[in-house]
Amino acid sequence: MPLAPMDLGFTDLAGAWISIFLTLAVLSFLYADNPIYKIAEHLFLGVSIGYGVTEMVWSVAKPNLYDKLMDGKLIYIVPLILSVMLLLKVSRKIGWVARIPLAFLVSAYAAVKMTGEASGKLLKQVEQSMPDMVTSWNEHGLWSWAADGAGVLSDTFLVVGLTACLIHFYFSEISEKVQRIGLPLAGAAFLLVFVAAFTMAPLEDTLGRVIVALLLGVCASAPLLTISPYKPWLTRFGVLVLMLSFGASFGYTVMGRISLAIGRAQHLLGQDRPVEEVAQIHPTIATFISLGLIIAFLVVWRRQAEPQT
Amino acid sequence: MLDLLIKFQNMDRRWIFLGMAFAILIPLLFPLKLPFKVNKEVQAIYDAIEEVPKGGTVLLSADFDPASLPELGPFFNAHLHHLFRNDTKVVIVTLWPTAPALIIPEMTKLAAEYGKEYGRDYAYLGFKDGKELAIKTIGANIPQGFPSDYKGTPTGDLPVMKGMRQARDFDLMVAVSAGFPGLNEYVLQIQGQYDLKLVGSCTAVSGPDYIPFYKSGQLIGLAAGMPGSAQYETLVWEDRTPPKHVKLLATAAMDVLNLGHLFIIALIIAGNVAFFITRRVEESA
Repeated sequence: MPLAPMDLGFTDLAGAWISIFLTLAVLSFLYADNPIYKIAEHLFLGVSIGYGVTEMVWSVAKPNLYDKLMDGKLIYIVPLILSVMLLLKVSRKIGWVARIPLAFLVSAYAAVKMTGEASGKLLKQVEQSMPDMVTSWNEHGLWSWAADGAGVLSDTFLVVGLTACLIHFYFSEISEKVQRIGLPLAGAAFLLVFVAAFTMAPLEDTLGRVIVALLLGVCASAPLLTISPYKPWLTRFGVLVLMLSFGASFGYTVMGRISLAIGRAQHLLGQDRPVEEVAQIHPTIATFISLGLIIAFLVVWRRQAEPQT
Repeated sequence: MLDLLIKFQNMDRRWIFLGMAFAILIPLLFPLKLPFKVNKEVQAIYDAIEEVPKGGTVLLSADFDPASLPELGPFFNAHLHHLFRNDTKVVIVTLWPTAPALIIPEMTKLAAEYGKEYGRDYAYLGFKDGKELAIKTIGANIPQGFPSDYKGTPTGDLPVMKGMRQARDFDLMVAVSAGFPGLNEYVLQIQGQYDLKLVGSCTAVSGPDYIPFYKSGQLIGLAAGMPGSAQYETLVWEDRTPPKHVKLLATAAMDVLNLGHLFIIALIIAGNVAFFITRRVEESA
């Protein structure tokens, strides 16, 4: 059952109105950099730092260091000494002392990062870049609209696209002599893999075996084109794949930014609050008053700035 | 015509901001309620939570801040509704110092709404600094990293933590992540090592980075950005009407996202058309 609505106190009401005013003050930067925006920016910085320090002291330093020392756990003197050494960074004379705890931090993070990246990203993702095409054919066929395009075509695109992207970052010049063997090697790899896959693929239908063998042949021969005169074509394809990937990332970024704007707009309209709170705060009135004040200020500020410019 | 196209290309960008403001405000004030589909990544999160046995416990890492609240807040809210409604216990931790002020009021309000008792049905162990090292601690020994909850009660004394020493002792782990440290670090540092059942919600910006984790099975479910949160809200309230006080903020925002994107696409097309036409005219002249 929902809780009974509460009457908001003065601080809640004032806080709600201030948050609306500050939101519009920050958005006023879209018109021009102005003093109201600067006030909001500095206020935000000050509050953030104050909040961060308080949170660190009460949630980190107190339970993990102070309380432990008070309990008589003397081993915690070591992190206390290291913390004090870290603070000595501000001193010009003995600032070098801070390098000792920094060395601990850097080495610990380096070790943690390395193992994590190697096991979680490198090995697992390399494994995933070699899709099981037989399973893929059995589950999705050539292309499945129902499964967001899963299928052996997508698998081939993944392998060839990945190869092409990696080759794009291979900058060394390949001698003409070596280039002569690239195409025959790729052709041989294609034939070998095609025959092997066609004879050994555990698929009952002939069409499936032909398609899977053909696409596996393409996947195997693509990297060998690096040492052929067709390398620029593959590189070009790699660039296209990279552009597609950047496009997807940009699209997601735009969506993220619009989402932030939506969040603020919902706040200004009071749509993110329960009806009972909206009835007490009147966020739309606060929005219109704040907007009026900020516009009036901008007009005055602009007029005062004009003669100087 | 050419003058108009040149003017369009040199247009003051503040007109674009104004246009965007209207593209956001109009559908918020007059919702179109355009339909949208739930994708399989979000469905997988919902299913994973439904599979948690009654009385099971979920570890929830809420790593977000006010800036990411529009995207992740609706997911967090819907997720707590989902867990409390299913009588699933939940232990919340955070690696972001800005998160506690967002977690505690929401958690307390919803727990009271469902009649949940602090310590027995849910607990909040507070903020832990240390980033990846803190994540390692969550994987190996939670009471060591979080010796007490946010009220100062020793973690070991909380009934909800009985038998829960490591992340893998929980039936499921959920990471609501706005960036670093968050979902990426959970996958890299402890998911593989402890074979965790891990699902996540992330901001739209980091969505493309995490999709490979879903494809590889390191994540069993993923909700990216506001659309992910909206889809999850839809699933949570699919078979029942949400109470009047429950705000489906992400669902309400979907119209705005659609129109906002259309506005940007239109500007990109118009800008390119104007550019190519003026270039052709200038070249022929």
